[in-house]
Amino acid sequence: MKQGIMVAVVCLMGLQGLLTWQACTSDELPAPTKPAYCDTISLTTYENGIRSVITNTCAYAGCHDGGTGIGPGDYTGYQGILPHLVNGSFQERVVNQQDDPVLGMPPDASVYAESRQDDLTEREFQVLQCWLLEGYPE
Amino acid sequence: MKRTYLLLAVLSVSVASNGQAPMFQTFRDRWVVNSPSVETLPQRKLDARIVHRFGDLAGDAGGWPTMYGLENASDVSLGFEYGFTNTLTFGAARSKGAGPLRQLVSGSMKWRLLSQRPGGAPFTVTLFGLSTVSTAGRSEDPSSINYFEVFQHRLVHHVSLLAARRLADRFSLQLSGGVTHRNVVPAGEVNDLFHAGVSWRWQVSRVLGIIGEASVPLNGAQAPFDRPEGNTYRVPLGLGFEFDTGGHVFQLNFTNATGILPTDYLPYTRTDWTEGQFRLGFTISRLFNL
Repeated sequence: MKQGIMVAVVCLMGLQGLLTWQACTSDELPAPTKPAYCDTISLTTYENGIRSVITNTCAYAGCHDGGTGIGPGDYTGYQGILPHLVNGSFQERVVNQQDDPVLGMPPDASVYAESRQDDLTEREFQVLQCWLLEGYPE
Repeated sequence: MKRTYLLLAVLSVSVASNGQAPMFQTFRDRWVVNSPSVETLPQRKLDARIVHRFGDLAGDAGGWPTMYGLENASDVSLGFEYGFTNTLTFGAARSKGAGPLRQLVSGSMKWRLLSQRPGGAPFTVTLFGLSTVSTAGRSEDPSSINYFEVFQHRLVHHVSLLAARRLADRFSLQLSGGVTHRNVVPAGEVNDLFHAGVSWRWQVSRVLGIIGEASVPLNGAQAPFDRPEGNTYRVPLGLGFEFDTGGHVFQLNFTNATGILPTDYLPYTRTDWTEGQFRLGFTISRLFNL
């Protein structure tokens, strides 16, 4: 009985090893390419196109206002946002986690009642994403 | 990579289990916080497990608006493990996933090769293997890890060797090393991510134990050495309180890792203790006789 169990176990291990062997690849994704819509948006800088989006959706009183707001950082100016651009957290929260109602920025009103809008408009999102891909020029 | 699996398979077959009951229980549970421990289940015992990790306790995603993370779930896992023999445990689980790969189904295997006992081996040594498959929908973006050009891109494999010793009556220490193989990685990252880990357990009283762990990636963008500016990967660190109530083990823990499985938190931890991005979590383990 005990010998039978060990044989079954060794067979099971062999089967798992075989499956793992066959299920291995070592591939790498291509680097993210610039979306086609970026070609239709002329180079945007912080002062020319981004400040207004951030002021309306992030840097208002109570949020990333640099004062008593709940959001970290002072998004009323470029220098206040820069640390979050450099460490990738802006990209992470605004672009990568855009569909997450809690972590995605701007937050949904169901999570943060004072949120001015649940999501960026499609145009705002595209402009911000192209600006980030260009290296967020000031 | 294939050679590594072969070597470990040969090693595990060559070191036959001795069949004797180990004299030392190094850890109380089969898992420390997120890391596997050297412990295996007794034969014919089924362990039903519920693992939950809440959202960030502090930082900009925590605090009062989310009731310090309690209103969010970073990851949730439901699964079971079964002891085929006293030294061999198999497991299966469904996890939400916290990294870019979501809706994970996993299978695991643990083989205890040596057991610490008086006059015998000075350490308990266990081989651990885990494979996960993402069952999430496909992305239309070829540069997304969820593009899943082939089925294998849904799979992540992990194998590690664990060595632990009960150093004192109330204190155990475990060292581990292993590799996590991702079949597909974002541009510029490595497929084989090696790591070294340390876990420990201090038995405070008959019921309460304090546990801790750290898993340090050794290569690739995840390694904490000479990180370039803009690299947001962080080392997963966990601390927990373990309550053994007799029939089940209940664990409360704090960790910066958002994912539960090694295939998730080793390659994808980007949350930082110093930014308040740590979370409360719990694990419930209930044993049944089958």
